[in-house]
Amino acid sequence: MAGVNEKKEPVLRASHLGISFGGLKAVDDFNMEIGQSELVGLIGPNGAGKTTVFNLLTGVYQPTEGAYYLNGTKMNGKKTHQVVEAGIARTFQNIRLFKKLTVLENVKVAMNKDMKYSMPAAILRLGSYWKEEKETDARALELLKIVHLEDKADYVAENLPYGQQRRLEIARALATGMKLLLLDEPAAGMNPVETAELLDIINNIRTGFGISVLLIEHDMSLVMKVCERIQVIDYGEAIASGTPEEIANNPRVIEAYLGKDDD
Amino acid sequence: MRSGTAGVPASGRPLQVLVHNAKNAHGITIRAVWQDAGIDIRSLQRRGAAGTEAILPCGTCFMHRAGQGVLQLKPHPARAGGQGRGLPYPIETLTGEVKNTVSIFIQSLINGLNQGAIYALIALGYTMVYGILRMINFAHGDFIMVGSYTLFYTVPLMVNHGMPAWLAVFVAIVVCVIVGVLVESIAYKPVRNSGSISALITALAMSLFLENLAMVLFGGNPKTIAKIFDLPLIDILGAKIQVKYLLTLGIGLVIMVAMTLFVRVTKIGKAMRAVPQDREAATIVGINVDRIITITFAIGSALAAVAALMYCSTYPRATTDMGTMMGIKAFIAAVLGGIGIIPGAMLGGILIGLIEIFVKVYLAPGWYEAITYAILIVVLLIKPSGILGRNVSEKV
Amino acid sequence: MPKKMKRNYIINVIGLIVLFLALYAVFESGIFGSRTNYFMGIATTACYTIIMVASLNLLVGILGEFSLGHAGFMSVGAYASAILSNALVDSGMPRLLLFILALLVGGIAAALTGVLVGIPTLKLRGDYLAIVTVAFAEIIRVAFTNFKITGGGRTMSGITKLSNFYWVYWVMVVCVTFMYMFIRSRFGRTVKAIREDYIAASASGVNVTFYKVMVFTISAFFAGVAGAVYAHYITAMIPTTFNFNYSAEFLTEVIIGGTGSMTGSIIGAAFLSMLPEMLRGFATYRYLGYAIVLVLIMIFRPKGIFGGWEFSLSRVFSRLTGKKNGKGEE
Repeated sequence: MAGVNEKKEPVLRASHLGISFGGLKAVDDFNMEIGQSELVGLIGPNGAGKTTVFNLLTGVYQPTEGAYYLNGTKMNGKKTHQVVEAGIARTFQNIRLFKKLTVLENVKVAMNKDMKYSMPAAILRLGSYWKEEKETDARALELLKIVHLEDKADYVAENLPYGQQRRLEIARALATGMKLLLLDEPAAGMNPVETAELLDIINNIRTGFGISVLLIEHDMSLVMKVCERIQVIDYGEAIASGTPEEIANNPRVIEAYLGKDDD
Repeated sequence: MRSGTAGVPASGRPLQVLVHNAKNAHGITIRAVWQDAGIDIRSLQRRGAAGTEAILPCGTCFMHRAGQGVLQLKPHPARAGGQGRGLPYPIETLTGEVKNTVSIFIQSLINGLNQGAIYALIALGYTMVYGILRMINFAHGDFIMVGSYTLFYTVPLMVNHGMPAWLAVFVAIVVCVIVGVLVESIAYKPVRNSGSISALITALAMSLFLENLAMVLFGGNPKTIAKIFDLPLIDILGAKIQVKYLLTLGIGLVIMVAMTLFVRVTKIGKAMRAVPQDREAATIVGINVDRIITITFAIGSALAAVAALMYCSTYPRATTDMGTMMGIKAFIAAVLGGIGIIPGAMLGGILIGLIEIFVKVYLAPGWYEAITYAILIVVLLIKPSGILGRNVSEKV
Repeated sequence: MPKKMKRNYIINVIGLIVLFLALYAVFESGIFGSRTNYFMGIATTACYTIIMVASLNLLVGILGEFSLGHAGFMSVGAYASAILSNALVDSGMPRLLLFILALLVGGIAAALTGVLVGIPTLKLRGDYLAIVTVAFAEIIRVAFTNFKITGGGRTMSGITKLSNFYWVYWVMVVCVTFMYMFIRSRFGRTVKAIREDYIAASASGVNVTFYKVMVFTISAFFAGVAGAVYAHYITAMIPTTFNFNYSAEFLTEVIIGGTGSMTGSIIGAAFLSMLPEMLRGFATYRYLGYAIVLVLIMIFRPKGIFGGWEFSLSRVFSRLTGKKNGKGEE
């Protein structure tokens, strides 16, 4: 399926990515490739720099070293909304919804960049306003269906239970029409039933949309179960990369998680 | 041309002008530096053009390059016939030769530092309250007004009883502390947990309340405060320096050092630094947060009373709305220096004072406020948390 | 356009015309006798105050940033429009056309200032931004005090009286409707998202910078229109009018009415611009009472009188006719 004579460019390629805050290296020499429709896990102990990697990949921070590419296009220097436009969307570790907006509106905000009607059309309520709002409503409802929230469309987001808020964040990220989805601990605080439901959703998204997913997760069993490849970082450096089995048996990973057996 | 001459305003109060004569290549340059008599500057904003007559706002430099001429002073047309209210009469007379620009510079420097010390003291009150409550106490400027009116009534009492006039400041401190603590406990405390915007509106309402209460109690006419310090002029490199300016500057510096030590060393001071960091944790370790907030307001109000003394010795006039502009400028000083930080308030206050006076004297007298604000905007754009502030970016 | 919406629009338009005719009848019947002009003046004041407060509510309620310099935008609109109408008054242009032109010029001039003031919002938020808006308004005031064309610190008088209540009423209606439609469109939704969480908004592809400056520009535009109405109503003005206290008054009215609620803005502005007049009998005590009322409202209704609630004529209509109509707004 791959290109006939050229190496297929991965969806995401990070090469020697690094950032330091006041001389302290938060992420250093981070390399990673994610292929089409691949689901890659990013794990590491607390404070290893996982979320910083996400912030680097979404333009919240600008890398001080190295570069990252989306489908071969260099993304350095792009602002967050430009990164999103290019095709990288994310969720947040500490849920960041538009709390006072309805569930439907939360999703529609992320669709704004694809809406075209002008200011005059909006304030004069011209035909294009009604048409596009209606179309967007329909599309947003479809996305809500994917995360099983279609019957909650008119709820105010802050009134949703925790697990549903996490799913709404995923729907909102989907609404940007991205190629690569970054999920920051989507199962945090969920019970096993909710986690299972979430797994289903993630799998459906991958197969349905053909997108790639990079997943930060603390729940090791979840990561081992769903990820095709896992990358481990510690102290901002990639210390291992491989299939779940390889990672589980990698001594450096065990050391990073359990500490060195010195005494 | 040896000195400025002056007309006589409708009220019969003699007008006196502070004039510096300096020689330059074009002949004689007259620089008339007005002393702000607490007049509503806004209604007198007329730039004095070179010529034989001009209506000058306080702080205007009158440049007369022709070599000869008389400076005539007229009441502002809009205010003429208003019982002599708002006439641009200066309060100091300084005649005599000022030999060179160095002396103007020194004079401006001292004036600026004096002005700056007053702003700094007011800014301290803002910054302490903001530091502990994250709230802009817009009524703080009006505490100065309360202090000034107290001085208006108590200075003559002191003098009549043969005591030094400045002792009146202790009465002013007591009155301001009472007002400050009352405002805090009656109006601010109930809205403390309803969000910053409620607190802001409540503060604006209290400012309105105090100003109108003063209007009801003392009437709309400005009050002239009796002389507080009777101190001589001294001559430094040809510049005539008011000793009382040096005194107020000294008082300001002493208070600033004392406040810094107080916050660093004493138990209450440490608690004042702890509360804004984590109010709950402070409660857990046994700090009575309400008491600390009350003490903060009391200290801020006491400083406002001292600032009122310093202000009134420079500009002996009390009006009901004097707090608004002064409050905004002092708040801007606090923001410029980095709000919530005590040395920041001092630095910001002194800077604003110096900028104002130097822009008045050297650049564009009509624009000094605009330039001050523009500098604030530029500083905040470069360093959003103020000169001494620490940048805190939101964690993602 | 959905049928339900069409019906709502028709109800609202009829409601506005009925209100207009009622006021028209009251003022023309002469039941106030010699005080008719006085009451029309208050009504006119209420109208431009409503535009001011509604436009400030775009910043405070929708964007979530409070401005303490809104009178600055108003003054730009007032002076720009006055300069224009002074230049064109003898051109023989119909007065209504001149009025509309003056409003547009006032609005555009203020909008340009709004772009300028909007730029610091890229880096500043909250109290810091509020103080920058104060600084901008003061700079504008000082500039108008120094410029010859704006009266050079004296009263700029002799502005043609173009604002009469009957015109101003419709100006107010159009302005408020436009703002309302703006809020309930993709633009308003995006701005609300920025208010809720600007980081999440940018992660949803929103160009936060662009939208923030846009709201400042639009808000300033309508404040400029209000300023133009003011200039051609009062006919003589001085820069000191547009001071900090005036800006603070607008902010107060937004908060008292309820942030984010256009209904609140309208009632808040109308009520508070009439309150001092109603209390006139109490002379100097009236502002004391006003201040106490403010504090009491903040203590007992910190979200403002209306919170985020919106009045809906069609909802009232539905209730009266006994029909159930859940969401009758828009």
